[in-house]
Amino acid sequence: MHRGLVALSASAVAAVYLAGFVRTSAVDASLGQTAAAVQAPAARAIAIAAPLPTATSATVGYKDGTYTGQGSSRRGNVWVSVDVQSGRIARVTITKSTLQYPVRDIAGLPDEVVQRQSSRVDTVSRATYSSQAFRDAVQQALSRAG
Amino acid sequence: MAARMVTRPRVRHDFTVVAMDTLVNVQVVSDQPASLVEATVRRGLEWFDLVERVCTRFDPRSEVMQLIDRVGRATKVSPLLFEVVTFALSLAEQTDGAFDPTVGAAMEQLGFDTHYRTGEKVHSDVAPGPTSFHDVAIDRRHRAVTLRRRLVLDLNAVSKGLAIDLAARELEAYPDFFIEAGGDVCVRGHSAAGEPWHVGIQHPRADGLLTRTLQQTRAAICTSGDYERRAPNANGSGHILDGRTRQAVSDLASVTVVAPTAMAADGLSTAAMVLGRERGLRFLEEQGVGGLLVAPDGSSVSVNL
Repeated sequence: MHRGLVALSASAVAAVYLAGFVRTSAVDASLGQTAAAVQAPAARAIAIAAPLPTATSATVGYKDGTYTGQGSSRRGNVWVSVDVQSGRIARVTITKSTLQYPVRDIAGLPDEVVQRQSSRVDTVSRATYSSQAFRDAVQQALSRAG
Repeated sequence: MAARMVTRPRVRHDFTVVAMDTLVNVQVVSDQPASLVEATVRRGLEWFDLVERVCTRFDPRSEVMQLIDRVGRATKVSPLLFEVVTFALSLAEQTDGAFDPTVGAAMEQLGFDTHYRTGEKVHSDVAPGPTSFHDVAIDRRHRAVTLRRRLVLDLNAVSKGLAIDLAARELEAYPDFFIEAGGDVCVRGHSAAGEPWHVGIQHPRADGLLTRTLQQTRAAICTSGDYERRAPNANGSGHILDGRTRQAVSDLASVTVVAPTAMAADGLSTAAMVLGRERGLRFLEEQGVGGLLVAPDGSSVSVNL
């Protein structure tokens, strides 16, 4: 008799959480750069430093300063702020992101007519989208730092 | 005289970061000071970085990729990697290999081979062969994993879900929040409007439109679909492979699973995509989760929803 996968996942999450940030030595050696400092919270869209595109920052010299860029996808827009210090990317921060939540629901089933009256949604479940818009935003910012 | 409570208004606190090649959005509704909320959310989001560093096949130095050089030998791994691999293997067993985490090299061949942070192409030098989940052995007592042959484990179908669940545990002092990572959602409590969270489900063939809206106060809602990530090297076929044939699946356009954990919802939605409409529906029913399966023509079937 198989144990249900929901129960298995719940024990897996608990086991990992309780183990905390324990890593094997093999992993420790491979740890990459972690996300850097955190920006002070803004009123609505609070930004946290995003992972740095390490390859570009290591190889290209940019003019010091803070540059902004925007990227778009079908999902919405992302604005970033890129801080360049000593010619390298010191920090990338998402300053704003707008996910375009649909305002209309499709009439899938008749009993959903009631639901359509409240078209507001807080978030949307969908197939995984990529972070291409973010990368575009960073590239646009860097093009101004060249 | 009783001390007067200082009441602050409940407000939204929104956070966005990039992790696992997607955007992670967190919204906490709380009367706590923003600095406190932010510190907790930061701790929660650190799990995404850790899970990614351990489980990614896009970095040869990740713990999972280091297993390739230890073929035939039992390797003690971190609790995180052990649990992810164990769950992925259970999912493979219970779907008779329809879901199979050993498709990593086949995924590379399809062109899913670029590290999103660096833009570098990654190739493991592992030829896509007739690998299966039977080529991976686990030993819980020694927390060890053994690859019986050279293969690339693709843990993407379950690792993001696990990261969401871990972040949610970190946030559990806050009764009202959601975490959304690239379309995988976990909700707790109520929105700022005081209502259950309204979670839309993207229609797989009508961009920007929903096929349904769910109202939930404690659930994970994950969707797998053929409409976002297309294979660069295979005429844009989908990114979900049938573990038995190594071909992209086509029977379904999307599967949404509602489950207590995002790890289960994430993995089971991918597995049901492979199993197809009939078997997928039965599988989700057996596992006791909610499911919405949408075919390419837009017709849908659901269970427990």
